[in-house]
Amino acid sequence: MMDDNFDDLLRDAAQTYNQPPEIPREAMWAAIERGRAERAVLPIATARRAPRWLTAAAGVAAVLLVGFAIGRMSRGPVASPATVASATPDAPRAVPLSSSPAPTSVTPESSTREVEATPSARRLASIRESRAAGLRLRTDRANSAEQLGDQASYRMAVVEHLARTEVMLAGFRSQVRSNADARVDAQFASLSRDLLATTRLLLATRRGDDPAITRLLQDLELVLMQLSQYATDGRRSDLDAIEQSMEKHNVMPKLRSTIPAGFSSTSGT
Amino acid sequence: MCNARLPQHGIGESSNVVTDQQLVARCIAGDRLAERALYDAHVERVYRLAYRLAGDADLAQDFTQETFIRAFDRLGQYRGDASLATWLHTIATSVSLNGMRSVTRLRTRSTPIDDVPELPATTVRAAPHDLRERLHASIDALSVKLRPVFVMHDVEGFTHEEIGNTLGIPVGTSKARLFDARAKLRAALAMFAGDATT
Repeated sequence: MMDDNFDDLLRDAAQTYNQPPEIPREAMWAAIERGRAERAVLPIATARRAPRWLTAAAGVAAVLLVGFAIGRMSRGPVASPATVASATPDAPRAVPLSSSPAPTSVTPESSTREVEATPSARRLASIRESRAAGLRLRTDRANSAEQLGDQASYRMAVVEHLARTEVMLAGFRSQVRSNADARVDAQFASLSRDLLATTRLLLATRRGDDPAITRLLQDLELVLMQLSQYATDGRRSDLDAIEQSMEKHNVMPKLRSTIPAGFSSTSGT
Repeated sequence: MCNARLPQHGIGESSNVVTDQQLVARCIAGDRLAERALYDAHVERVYRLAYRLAGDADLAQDFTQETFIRAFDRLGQYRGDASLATWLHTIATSVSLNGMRSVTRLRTRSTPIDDVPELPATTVRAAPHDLRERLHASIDALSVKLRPVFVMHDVEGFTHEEIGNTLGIPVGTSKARLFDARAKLRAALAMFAGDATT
């Protein structure tokens, strides 16, 4: 009862809380019309906001980019010019890095070329450098697997390599089928050479008694060799030879059956 | 639902009282009279609510203007699930509470220490008119969750359904918050309880 009385008192007293004065209707209406007119003539750049999905996508892309950059940085130092020189297509076999500083291993001839390098030459050198870095990385991985004598590590490296090869071959076939007369992208040429080098390394350092894997790597070596040849020369006969090799050796079905389900070329380390 | 009155435009309309949906449709079509009619129909309650929450004429005016500017911009989003009044009150509450948050932040940063009013060191038995002052101060001191519910229900006479729709909370939550708010005020004004019952 006491509470009821007090609540009534509260309610009565509350009516005076922030009691509004007379409403300035016309002044507010004028201000509203002004405000709407001002907002209607905002510059397009200010008024048009990016859709929410685009903002989210940009955020995701930024995160991926940062992650990718961190991943690249954590892979170790960039290959020195000595490695670059040894990893060019003319000398596909990887040579161990010398312990001497990089500049001392550069010949006078090559240094002259560097001085006179055009932008395209520099770009080519940069591509070679990155390719060499990748080759060195894979060499290191293969070497480390050898040192450890760990079959599981070797198997992991093989599976990762097979996954990358499968993606590349699928992309290659898709491009050839959609545009048979045109030459394939230059990326296939470089990629197939890289994969060929890795295939040979894996064959050379194999740590397993699985003859199926060995046979598959040998088949891949043949197909990748033909593919790198075709990507360079662009002869139709090479293309037919690639198709025949792949069909004859059942390369794609074997690849897909060897790669574990759910494994992607990017999921490996 | 708050029906607005505006001049007839169509043949066959027996009355010049239009529903929320018709009014909104006309506003979207660019009918300036309909816009003014919508404003006239709702401005009083929106302004009162804004003023009760802000406690300042200039702020209340700003919040009311911003409410209607936003409402006219977003009329296309009004689906008619709730009444137009509830939809406008939702915007008004959001604008006012966000605006008050900014103002409070600003005041907290810029108020010199000398301007802070001194609080009485001991509680003295207050005269009756002090009940209002203490009550107003206590309402001001309610939390951000409790104050809008108390103001809307006990001061402005909104129902719990309207409060729930406006603040986007269940009716039960609105009731619980009102109960809590009253309990806090009762505790803050305990010294006046004896006077109230006599």
